[in-house]
Amino acid sequence: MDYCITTDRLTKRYGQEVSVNRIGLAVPIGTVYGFLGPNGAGKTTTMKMLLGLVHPTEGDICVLGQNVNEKNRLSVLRNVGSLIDSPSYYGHLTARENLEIVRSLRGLPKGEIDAALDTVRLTGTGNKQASKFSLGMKQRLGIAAALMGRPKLMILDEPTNGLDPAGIQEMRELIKSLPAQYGMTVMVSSHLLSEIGQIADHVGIIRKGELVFQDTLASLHAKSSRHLALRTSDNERAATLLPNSKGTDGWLTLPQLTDEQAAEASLLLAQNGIGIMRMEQREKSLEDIFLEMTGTEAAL
Amino acid sequence: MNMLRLEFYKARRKHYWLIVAAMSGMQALWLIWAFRRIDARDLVQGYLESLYQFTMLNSIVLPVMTAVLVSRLCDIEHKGSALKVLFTMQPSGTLFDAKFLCAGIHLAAAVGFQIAVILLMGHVKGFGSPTPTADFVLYFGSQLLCSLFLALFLQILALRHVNQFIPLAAGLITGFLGLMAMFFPAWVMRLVPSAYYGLLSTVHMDWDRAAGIVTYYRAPFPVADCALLTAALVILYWFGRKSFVKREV
Repeated sequence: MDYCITTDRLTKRYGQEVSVNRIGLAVPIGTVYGFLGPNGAGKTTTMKMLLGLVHPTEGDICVLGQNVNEKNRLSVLRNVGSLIDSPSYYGHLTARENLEIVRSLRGLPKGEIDAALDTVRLTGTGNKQASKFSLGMKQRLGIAAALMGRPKLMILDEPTNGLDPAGIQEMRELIKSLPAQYGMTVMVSSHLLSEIGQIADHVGIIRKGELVFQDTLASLHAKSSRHLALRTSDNERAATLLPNSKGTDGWLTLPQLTDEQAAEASLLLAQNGIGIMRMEQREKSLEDIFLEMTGTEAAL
Repeated sequence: MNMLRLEFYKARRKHYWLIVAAMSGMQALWLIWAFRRIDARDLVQGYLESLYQFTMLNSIVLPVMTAVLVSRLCDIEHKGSALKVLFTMQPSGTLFDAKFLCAGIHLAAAVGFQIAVILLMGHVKGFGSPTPTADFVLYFGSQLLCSLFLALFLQILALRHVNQFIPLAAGLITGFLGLMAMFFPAWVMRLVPSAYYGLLSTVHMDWDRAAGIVTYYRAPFPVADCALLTAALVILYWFGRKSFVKREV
């Protein structure tokens, strides 16, 4: 698999405090990569390191096939659009004027401004100054600036922060469309599992600066293993009869069983005079997995 | 040049020139007031008196003007968190250079305007001496050099701190210190950047208390002081730019 971003032992320390600890990202080309973690886990610091806004304490960064260093950073970033934390804009300028600055710095043709405004539906804002925009419009202006020049990679840090439900939906659709429509790779961070679950193909989960999971969303779902839970009239005896079972909180849990195996187990218990009060199939939700991996409350 | 052009583009609707115009206008009014009644003796030394008056005013007004101008130029980057995007598109050092140049152009316009006011005053009042071109050149260079040093010092503060009260307060304090330093020996003056407005002046005043006569005269240009301030400017520029380039946003 070809990767748009890879990092090796990427670390950032502030004094004694380790903000990001030896993480090895691998963002496949042409995917939406969800970078998930609770607040303060190190998502923003990692993304800032990818953009050279924060200097890594150690480790290597490879973006679009090039090892990024201080000398080639800006030439690599010519193909990278970004939106970090909150949108960057000049409040006293219009959307068009804001994008003119980006266009001029990137050396792009004039037509790029209209195309970017059109993509984020800010074409009709005319002479309205950006400071008078709603948060959603400011966020879209930030996305438009990132889209200028149709970069190969977009790095978006919590782009739905502060948006209303309609704005979140709109942003989600836009992000999902970028790989297919423009052939971009998108790395998008969020502390909202549900958000990432809806837009990402690949997921990286960071906890206290460490990457605790990185794979496809499908393989994250695969971790949600099913099992059978039983409540019987005598759990202790039932546990001795069913050697693979574990007892917790008045329940016995069994690994995933076929219908026949389940029937055999219930018959065995009945033959030994143990009544089955409840039998249910359980499945770990993504939230449970996230909770286990991050050790925090899942943000739903 | 593109970076400098962009600095002026970003300044749209900000009307920074109004700060320069308003403060320079005040200085012009001061001169008009000072020359409202002028005798033949004053007319002869009109140019020198004007240069002296403006030099004194500059040590108070230009630090304040510079602080307001520089803090506003830098504040636009803080307000919209623009540095996060700019640092991914342009070398951060060029942003530092462009900001300094932009402030420098405004300050050059302010000092240039002062010379224009003096020339106009000389024409209207009929100053009785030839136009002192060399004095004007030295005046322009020295006043601009002091202002550039202050602009650089304040720009470093304004880019480092989001709270623009810090460079503004620094500008006001510098102006006050510049004024106070004039009452101290030259070596003390050399420690205060805004005192260089007076230190680098080639026009001095002699006041005969008994006769109540003020005489303005030329002194040699203080090359050593100019070199000292220039060296300080270069070192501060190197330090400030390097620190800005290394900055994490």
